[in-house]
Amino acid sequence: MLVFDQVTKKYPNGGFNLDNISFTVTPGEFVFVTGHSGAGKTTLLRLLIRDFLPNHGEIFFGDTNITGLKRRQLPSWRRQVGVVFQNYCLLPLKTAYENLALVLRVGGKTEKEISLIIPSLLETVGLANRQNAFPQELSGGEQQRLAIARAISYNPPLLIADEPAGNLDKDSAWQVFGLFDLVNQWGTTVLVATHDEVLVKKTKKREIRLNNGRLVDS
Amino acid sequence: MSLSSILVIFLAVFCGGLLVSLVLFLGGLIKQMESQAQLSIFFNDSANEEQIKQARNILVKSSELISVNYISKQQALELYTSQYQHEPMLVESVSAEIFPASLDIRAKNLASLNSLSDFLSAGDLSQEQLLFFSSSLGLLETDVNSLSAVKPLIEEVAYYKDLASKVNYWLKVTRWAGLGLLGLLVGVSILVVLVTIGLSVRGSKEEISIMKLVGATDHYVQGPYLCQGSLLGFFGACLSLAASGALVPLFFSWLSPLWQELSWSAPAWWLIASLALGELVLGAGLGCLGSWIAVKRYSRA
Repeated sequence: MLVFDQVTKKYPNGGFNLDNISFTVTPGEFVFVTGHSGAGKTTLLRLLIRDFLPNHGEIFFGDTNITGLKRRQLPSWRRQVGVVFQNYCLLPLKTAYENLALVLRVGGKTEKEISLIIPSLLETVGLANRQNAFPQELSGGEQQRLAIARAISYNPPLLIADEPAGNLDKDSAWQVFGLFDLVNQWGTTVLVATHDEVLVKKTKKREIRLNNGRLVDS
Repeated sequence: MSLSSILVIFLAVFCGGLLVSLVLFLGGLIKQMESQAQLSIFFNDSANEEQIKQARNILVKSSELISVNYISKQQALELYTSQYQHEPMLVESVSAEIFPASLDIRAKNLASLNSLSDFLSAGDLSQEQLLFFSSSLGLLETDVNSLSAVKPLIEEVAYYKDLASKVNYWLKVTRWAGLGLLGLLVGVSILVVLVTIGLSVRGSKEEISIMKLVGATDHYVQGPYLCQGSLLGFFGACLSLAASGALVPLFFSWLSPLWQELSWSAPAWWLIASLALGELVLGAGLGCLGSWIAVKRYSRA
């Protein structure tokens, strides 16, 4: 269970980024976080990976108090959260295979394990024949699928995505959401921040709507 | 940049090695000089052999003195003639009568000789002075009193303490100046490594931030940079060892007449090995420290 309990995050200038937000997400749920630009969607996701701390309130995932984690506990926590960014955040000088291998090495997988895991990951996201391609040789949709493969490489219990289709055409966007749906069917809790309301309505998933840092609908 | 890091670390380590060697060398030299330093008491003609030997018998009791040798007038002449045997002109015209009888004294350290010299040149002693000399010379008060009675028989006290004092002074100067120079070079080394590794870290900032976001520990992220810095330092230290290896034999052969004079042998192999190991550790440590600061400074994500 993911719990946001009266979470507040202020801008350094004093304005609110998130204002007293409380909601829960049950394990294995697929939730969209929606709102216009600046509503606080990205802030909410960054709080989940403990990129920074809230000014007030607590965030729990299962038994883990994310806001109470010590610095040395962050790497272990971050390996439990798959993250997908709008701009993919792939390493441009590494191939698709190497981009995935880096993450697996960070988690302590051996080269033999890595060589077994990566082909199946690439197969899952439809990039089986592109393992030697560099990010700039991939289309936007392919890059985002590679980023998803990286995010799910550990079978994380929680997957979060920040505007994952923001730079994609409609077909690619649907492919990406199809992948999120697949991962969710495996039992992973999925949180996707987006401002694409058409897509949200079509998928008929739960929606947490933010407006100027406040929760208006969950 | 990597080359400049190696060169600066080479300079720092080389100067460090040089400083330690110099301090060890001068320290050894002082010990050697201290053990060979001698105070000679020359007696006037009114002193007979029995009186001089009586003084010697008192001095021999001192726990601070290594040896007290009586040199008679005849022995003094023999020493003189053996010293100038190749210059007959100097030997022909001298007889034993012109040489004073003396006591040649060696001590465990310079302080004891200083004390003895001060005692012999002092006039009447107060009770406090008597106690002081008794303790510094390792003699009973009665012995010091008996020795005072011999003072009127003394012609001259020859004690060349200046050289040892000068070496001691230069040892201190070398130690402090060397430490200052070493500190400066260590600071510059860390700065250059910091800039070198810092550039590398800044170039990989995106990679580092992604690694951190996917759960890489600080050790995992910092490890390669610390290794890189340590290797730069290690190579610098190797260069320093190579330079020392080339220069030290030259230095030893240049100073060989001095070694023979002082009957001073080359340093033990374990000392050289420890010094070499110390240089390697210092070099790698400097590189590692510079890298660590750079990674801490530039990899905050």
